[in-house]
Amino acid sequence: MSLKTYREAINEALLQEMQKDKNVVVIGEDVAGGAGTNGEQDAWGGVLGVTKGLLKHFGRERIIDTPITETAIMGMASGAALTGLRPVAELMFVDFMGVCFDQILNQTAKFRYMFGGKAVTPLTIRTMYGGGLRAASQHSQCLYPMFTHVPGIKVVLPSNPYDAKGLLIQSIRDNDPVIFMEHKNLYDTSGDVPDESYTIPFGEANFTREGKDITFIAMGQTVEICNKVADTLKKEGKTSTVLDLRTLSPLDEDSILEAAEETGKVVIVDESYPRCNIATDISALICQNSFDSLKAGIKMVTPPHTPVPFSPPLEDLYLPSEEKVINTAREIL
Amino acid sequence: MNTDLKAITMPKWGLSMKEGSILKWIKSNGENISKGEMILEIETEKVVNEMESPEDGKILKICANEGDTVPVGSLIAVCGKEDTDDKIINEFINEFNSNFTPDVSSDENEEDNNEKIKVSNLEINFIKTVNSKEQNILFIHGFGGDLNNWMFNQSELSDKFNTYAIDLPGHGMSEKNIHNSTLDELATLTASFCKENDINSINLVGHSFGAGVSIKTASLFPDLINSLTLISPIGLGKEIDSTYLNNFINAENRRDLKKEIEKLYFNSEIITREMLNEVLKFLRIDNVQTTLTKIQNEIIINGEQKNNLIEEINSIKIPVCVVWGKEDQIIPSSHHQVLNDEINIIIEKDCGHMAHIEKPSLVNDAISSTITS
Repeated sequence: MSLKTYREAINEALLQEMQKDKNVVVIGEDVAGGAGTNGEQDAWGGVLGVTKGLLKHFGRERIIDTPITETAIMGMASGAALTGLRPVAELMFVDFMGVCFDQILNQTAKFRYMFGGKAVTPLTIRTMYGGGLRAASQHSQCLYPMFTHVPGIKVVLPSNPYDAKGLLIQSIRDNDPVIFMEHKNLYDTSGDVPDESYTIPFGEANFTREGKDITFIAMGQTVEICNKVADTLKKEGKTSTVLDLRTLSPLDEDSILEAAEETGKVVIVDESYPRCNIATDISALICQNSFDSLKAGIKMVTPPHTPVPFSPPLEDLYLPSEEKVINTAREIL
Repeated sequence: MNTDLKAITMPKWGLSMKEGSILKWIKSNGENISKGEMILEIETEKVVNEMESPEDGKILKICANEGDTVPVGSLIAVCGKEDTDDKIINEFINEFNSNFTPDVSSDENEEDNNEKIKVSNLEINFIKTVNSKEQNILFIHGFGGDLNNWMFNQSELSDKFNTYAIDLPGHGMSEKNIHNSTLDELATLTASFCKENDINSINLVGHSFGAGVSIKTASLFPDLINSLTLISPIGLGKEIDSTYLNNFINAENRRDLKKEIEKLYFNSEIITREMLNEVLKFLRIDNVQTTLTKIQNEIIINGEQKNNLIEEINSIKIPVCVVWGKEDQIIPSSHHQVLNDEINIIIEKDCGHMAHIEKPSLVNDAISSTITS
């Protein structure tokens, strides 16, 4: 056990799984950097340096730099998965899924079903999502609701370094396609991570705070926002439950209902666009199953239904924040 | 300072604890309290638990209210034998606070307390508190546990003794890849651990399987061991809840695990989600389930205990104390009947398999008096 960043936890998961299983390969744009040139090798390690250092262990055969074409990356990775490898493909920004969505939506997600269970597709797609980096509207979206919508794909949103490592190892060992979504703002956060390999099963939400007065349901980056709000409210004498969903598909419905019923007051904090997002989906789930336990209307903290602004002051105004979450909580406390 | 008044302070549960929050006062101002009785609920970063009263008397003034977070050692209440004038109580509080400085060592990272050492070719993790005391204690946890199981004991006893707590092979932060781990091998490992740390004489405190290791060590290395305090030891009878071990190893989620962990305690309300998560984190490390199965096979054969340590424990010449929760659901406390008259036996009611967690002051007193007897 030692203190590691989210970035280091992901790198360590890849390193250990690649050492354990020679079928694991990494595919993506500049996942090492410098392929086919006389320039510096392993110059990048992915756009934010997450895969840096793997090249020297595994060479170009297993750390595969690709041309700038997401369509080809996903086609290559899906085919490789179908024929026996366990690729970890990097879709640099999730916003780029537009050019490879057919590969994911109509091919990869459907293989097991279309081939009557005889085909498995152990593909992990790592991708960055989320705002806060002043990267404008084509590099700042969340889009996880779109993947969650499609049966046949598992959707994973680790909120901290411990979960990032355990869930990535689980993703690589899983026999179905998994979208593993990394929030850009989390890479430098740190926490205790065991040095050994370990897994976290899909469909198991995590209670990060426990309380009696209000329940926050969060995913990915919004978990830490809710934890901080819970700690602030505690100083005012109100205790909160915070539930980290960890995976959106499969979804831990039991824990969601348990968390909602514990306090009867629910705030869902979701960074994705507000129409048809995770907050609306969970809200419906709670209303259908736990309506009698509710003591107030369910509240959602989401951005407005607009593209992510490039202007820093506007982006700050756009994103869910501690201030917005606490003000929303106070409306029902 | 008025000697009739006693300070009740924020306890130190575990060596990394710096502060604690008052969740709930079970007793209120003016209420009588007796030593060992639960008086309030405290939350730390790691655990929520009830605190036992360190004194007999009456709570005269509560100084830290529900919701307050205060450093370890801070005054949280004043107790005394009889009603005392407010002025005297306030003088006592002022004097206490003016003499009190919280521990603000920069040691933020708790892992700094953990040390690793290579013993019998295995990497063993341990925590020690060494302040040139005369006597040394080594804590050995039970099956599926780790050194954090001693959080209510180790720091408490570190005032009087040098203390060591280890993670057994396959547990905590020690090596997970092990071939087998018979009691003989673990006794040898324990002796080597002492040798590596230049300890010539040690008092062992063992729980359950760790108590079995302790008995074996005392039997194989009599010159090394000064005394034994054993909590719910294995090896004194055939009965054991064998389904517990199996279900513990194979628990896949909190719900399954909770059913098993509940068997360990008399008061299962002590179990929090956080506790269960910590155990699940451990079980989900690669190889842990295989390793635990190997250890299980050293404890149980055909649904009964594999080891018979009755002759060994009864022929040990050093002070031995056995503490057993009367309501132990894992290993029945009736096994104490095979012990000879030399052995000090404490059967505690309203207590399960984890006396060191459920009744820490009882266990700590037992350890101290066994060592000094």
